[in-house]
Amino acid sequence: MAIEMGGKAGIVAPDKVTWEYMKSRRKMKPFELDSDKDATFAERRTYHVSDLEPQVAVPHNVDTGVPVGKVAGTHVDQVFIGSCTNGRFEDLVEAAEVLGKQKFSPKCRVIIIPASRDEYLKTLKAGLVEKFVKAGALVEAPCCGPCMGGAFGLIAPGEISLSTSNRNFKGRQGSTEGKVYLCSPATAAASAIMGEITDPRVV
Amino acid sequence: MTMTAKKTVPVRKIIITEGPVAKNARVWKFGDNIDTDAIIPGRFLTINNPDELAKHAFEGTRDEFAKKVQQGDVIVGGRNFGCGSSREHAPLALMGAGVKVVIARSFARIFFRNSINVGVLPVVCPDADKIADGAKIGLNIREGFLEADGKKYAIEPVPAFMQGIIDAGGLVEYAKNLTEIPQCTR
Repeated sequence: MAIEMGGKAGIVAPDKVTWEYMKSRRKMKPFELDSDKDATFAERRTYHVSDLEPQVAVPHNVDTGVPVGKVAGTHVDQVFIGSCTNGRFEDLVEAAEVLGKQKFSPKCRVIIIPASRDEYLKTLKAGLVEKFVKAGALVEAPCCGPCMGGAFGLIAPGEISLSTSNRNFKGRQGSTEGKVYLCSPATAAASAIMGEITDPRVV
Repeated sequence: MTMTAKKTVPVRKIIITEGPVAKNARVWKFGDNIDTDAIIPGRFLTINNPDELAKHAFEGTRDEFAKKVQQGDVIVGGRNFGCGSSREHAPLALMGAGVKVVIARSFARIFFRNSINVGVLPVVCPDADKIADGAKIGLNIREGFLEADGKKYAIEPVPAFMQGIIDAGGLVEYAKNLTEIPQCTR
């Protein structure tokens, strides 16, 4: 999301977890990738997010984040949990934890799409596909889904989509007369249970 | 690091670099935060031909654009023009539509670079908001101003190397004519 903040690129020094991942995927051995000891930076900013309320970006821009409480109660026609941004196994586990033993609301379509084949297999093996389907969701084959207006859940004129994807520009997920809100998998799951935008901490 | 162009290839030399305003082009005015999905919707990204892309430029956002845009017309946007998904299809679609210059109060960085790379000139004009839709417009890059409906507005300077890339017809053509490959020496 560095790009959405106006950056040209976002660079994060790899930690142990990243190197383990690289080793498992590419048999790559760790090498020095930290900033030089004497590197200088134009500016340093520190953010404390421990107390940050779950955020929702309202239509039609990504940098319109508001605390979920401000838009809680907004009716949603569709909830999409997936995309490269939030379609990893861990994201779907987060959604499943919020869901617990509850069902998704019949008032909205709930579309869950693991981001890749590997993530899909992990989700399947963990029994989450069955859990989601039994709770009333559609679990589609791994792909971008409705994120870029491609497939599996394009919104109609007047419809409101709540999505864990990364962009909510006008027309991005279908009709230019629809609206897209962006949120975390937890907020999406809580909202899918209630059929309206909901703080995941109260479900 | 040196970067020398063997020769300038004015295949698609498009910018008026001297003299006063030499031609009248029509302004297509847009607002703030025009995203690349608005410029060319994601469903058309399987197309790579600029002329074909141009048929869908601003589809769903401003449908008259693709039908009425003329060679040499200029797009004027507000703040953060070209935000969102990185896609060179966005400036390519504009290029196919005959747009050679995009003016805005500010640009999203990726769109800015993509534009230069495909040979469409992005020009920053702090007063872009004052330019009206449909205005007649001309540019004077060398002296750093544009003229819209008879009024002059300052534009930010276009660096020579950037102009060189535009004059060459984009980054690929420009790179083909480099005598030395720029190297990062560290």
